[in-house]
Amino acid sequence: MAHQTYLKPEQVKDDKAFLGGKEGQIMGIGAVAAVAGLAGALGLGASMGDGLRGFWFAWLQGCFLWLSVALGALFFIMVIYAARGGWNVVVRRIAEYFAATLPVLGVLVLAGVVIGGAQLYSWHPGSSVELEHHAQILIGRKEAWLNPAFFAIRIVGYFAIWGFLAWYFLGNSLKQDSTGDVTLTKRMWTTSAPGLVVFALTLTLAAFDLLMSLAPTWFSTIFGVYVFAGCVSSFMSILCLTAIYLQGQGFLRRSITMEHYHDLGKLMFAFTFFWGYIAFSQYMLTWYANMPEETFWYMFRQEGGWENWSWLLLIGKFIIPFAFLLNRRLKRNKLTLTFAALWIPVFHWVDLYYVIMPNYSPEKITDGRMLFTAICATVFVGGVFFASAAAIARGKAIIPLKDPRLGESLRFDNIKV
Amino acid sequence: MSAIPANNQRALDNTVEDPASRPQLVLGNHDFASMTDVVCRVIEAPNPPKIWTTALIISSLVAVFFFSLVAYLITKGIGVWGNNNPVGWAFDITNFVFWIGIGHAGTLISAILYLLRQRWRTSINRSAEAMTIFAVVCAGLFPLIHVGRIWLVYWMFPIPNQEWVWPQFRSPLLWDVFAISTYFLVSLLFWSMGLIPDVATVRDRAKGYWQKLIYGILALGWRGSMRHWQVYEKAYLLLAAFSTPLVLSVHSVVSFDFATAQLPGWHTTIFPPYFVAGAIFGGFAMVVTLLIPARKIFGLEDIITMHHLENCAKVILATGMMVGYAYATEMFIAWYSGNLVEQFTFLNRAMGPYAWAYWIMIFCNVASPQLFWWKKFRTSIWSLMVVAIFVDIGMWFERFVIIVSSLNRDWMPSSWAPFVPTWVDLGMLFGSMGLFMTLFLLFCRFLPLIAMAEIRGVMPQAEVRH
Repeated sequence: MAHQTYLKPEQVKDDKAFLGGKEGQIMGIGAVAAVAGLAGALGLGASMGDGLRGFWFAWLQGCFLWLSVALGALFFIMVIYAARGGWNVVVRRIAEYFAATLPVLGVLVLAGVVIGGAQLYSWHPGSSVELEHHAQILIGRKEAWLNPAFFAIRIVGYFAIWGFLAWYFLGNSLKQDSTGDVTLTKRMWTTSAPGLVVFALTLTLAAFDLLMSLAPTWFSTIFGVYVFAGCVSSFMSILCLTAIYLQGQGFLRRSITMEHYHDLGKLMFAFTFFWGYIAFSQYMLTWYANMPEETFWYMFRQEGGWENWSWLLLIGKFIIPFAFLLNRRLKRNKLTLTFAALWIPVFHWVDLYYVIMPNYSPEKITDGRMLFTAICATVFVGGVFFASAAAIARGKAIIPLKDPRLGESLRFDNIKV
Repeated sequence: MSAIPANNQRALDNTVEDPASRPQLVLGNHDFASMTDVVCRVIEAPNPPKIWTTALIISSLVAVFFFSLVAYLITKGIGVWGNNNPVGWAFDITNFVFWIGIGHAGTLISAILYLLRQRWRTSINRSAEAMTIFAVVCAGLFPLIHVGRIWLVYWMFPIPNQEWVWPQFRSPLLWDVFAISTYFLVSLLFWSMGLIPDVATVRDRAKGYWQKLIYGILALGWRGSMRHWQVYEKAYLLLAAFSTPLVLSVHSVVSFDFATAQLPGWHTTIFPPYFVAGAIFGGFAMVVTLLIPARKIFGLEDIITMHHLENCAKVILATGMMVGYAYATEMFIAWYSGNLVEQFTFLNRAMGPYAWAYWIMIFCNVASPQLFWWKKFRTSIWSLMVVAIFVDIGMWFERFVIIVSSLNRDWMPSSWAPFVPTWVDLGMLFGSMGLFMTLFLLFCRFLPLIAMAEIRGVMPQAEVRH
């Protein structure tokens, strides 16, 4: 180990650091997946005969999975700068491309809440859901917050802020590729900390708006943190998978090493654990205090077949990946790490389904058709996500070429330190 | 990488940030031997600094005062406190949560920062861990004495007895007993294990018979062999991994004491992570409050450098923002819930009879750390000290606000009652600080204040060169 020769920073550009035509292929596959996914979701959604209500729920589900990844990426970039991190430079550019898709995802989310708003949100004046008397009173008290116009303005605001932050970091990082200017790093160090503050506030409010207000009388102060935890663990997994895929295609073969994967694996583990902690806190406190104004949210998820889904979530999103990723050897083996990195986003998807879909079908668990609609919608947004990320990466390096801490990242060794 | 020349600016000021390299963690061109001398001098000096002796006399007197008050409380009963109905918990539990929160920085530094490979932790981890243990000692006393009939306190433990009196396992108060005793044991173990190589150094340097004997016993036969180090490093990593969930769990369980209740102002789901963030916030502030004088008095400025203090300031800013986030979220959700009682509680907090306490809390915990956005304030001893003390105060008030402002206006206005602390309340808060300081001062003089063995690993001399 000690005598392994590391790549020097100036050698990185020769380590197949440009997609060089591959982006066209990714965009093509992404476009096909998007079209097929959208067609499938629309077709299945229309066949349900509920005026596309199910389709819009699936749309939200699909958008939020990839939004989680992009937001996790934005968090990762900013936290690296704020903490003056070094080990992660070699994988940072991939995160920057992911985060840069936020404006595209914003268009999809906005389309969903504007066109499908009345179908999704029972607080919406156009909603056909019949609310009980007490719910009407409670929702009436927060009309200033939950009304279609302000809601849409807020969504635009969140994505404008995220898009600005994502492109600010990508832009400066790309500029550094050509100039090698270290003051750019210093500037990003300074911006990252306030960026994180704004990020925390907008992510929380977006989680309240997009997901929590699906059940408009329900509230939980921890909900923003809950969504955040899922974002980071699924992003770490998708980052891992992307790096493994790119290396399999011959890119960055010597730049990204097992040491980086090991650390990504640790972060996947850490945020799996963190999600478990947050989910437990929310559940336990709600269960213990046992107040109907809160418990109804969980009640819907514990009957009519949804209880099976809840068990699936507990076991699949927490117990299995927790036990699996505890082991150092499994994190330092690409095959087993790939398995974990596939598993975690799948169960983040299960989590989103658990949060979103009981609002669509509270009495009884959704049938297979709804499940497939949601899968199709996820494929659709996933296609858009990867195609846009590849389009943004066209002609640009997929690794920071002149970051002042690139050398540190290339030489990084987990066990020694 | 080569050793940094003495005339280099960065060897003098390690707060200058340069993206191309990492700051020096030990200043003053020390080598291993001179660094060891600096640390061991604190223990080996024939006479301690005068200010240390004075501080020890004062704090031990205050500690004696504290124990006298405990004796008074036990003989007279808890009526000597200002607690009333509905304010059944007041200073007792406020002090408890305050101290247990202080006890969080140590484990965070020694466990989580270790896992995150934060090499700067090595200068401050030992003293922060010691502080943790002493804070937990202070914290543990308050629930013990607040039970009223202290001679029956063993009822909290599941000890078989012929009356079949059994603790209520569904009560978060009982979870506390387990959470805190586990935390205390693991912290103590972690701390004392980390001390072994350093105590062995002190033993090997000791001149007197008793010093040799006592440090020899504490060093558990450490010879510094390869095998010893291998086992030690493995145990250290494992203990760090075990302690990490404890950092989260202890204060989460403390937050359950409140959040499992149905009381507005207490029952809110963000409490566990919010309490953990607050504990780290208060703990780091206490680390800064103690280390600024300690590094000066014992001449440790080359090891506990401005860079370390600046990093502490950043942690204080970050966790302070988390606490501010929690306050804001609680306020927003109180409104958003549409629940009128919830709304009243939060308005009452900010504008009711304890509004002064609330605004002290906001000023100390949210406003004052904002200074740390500027490097100038992060690297000035005075602003660090002032903000850290504000945060210490603010975190005490946070618990006071949560407890008293939520309790004093009960569901029915007829059962509203204000809480006024008695002299015993105030005396015990003050007295517990004496106990804490006594323990900390004794630690400074008799055990290595700095983890020497770990510091060696982050000095440039330890760098492997090819």
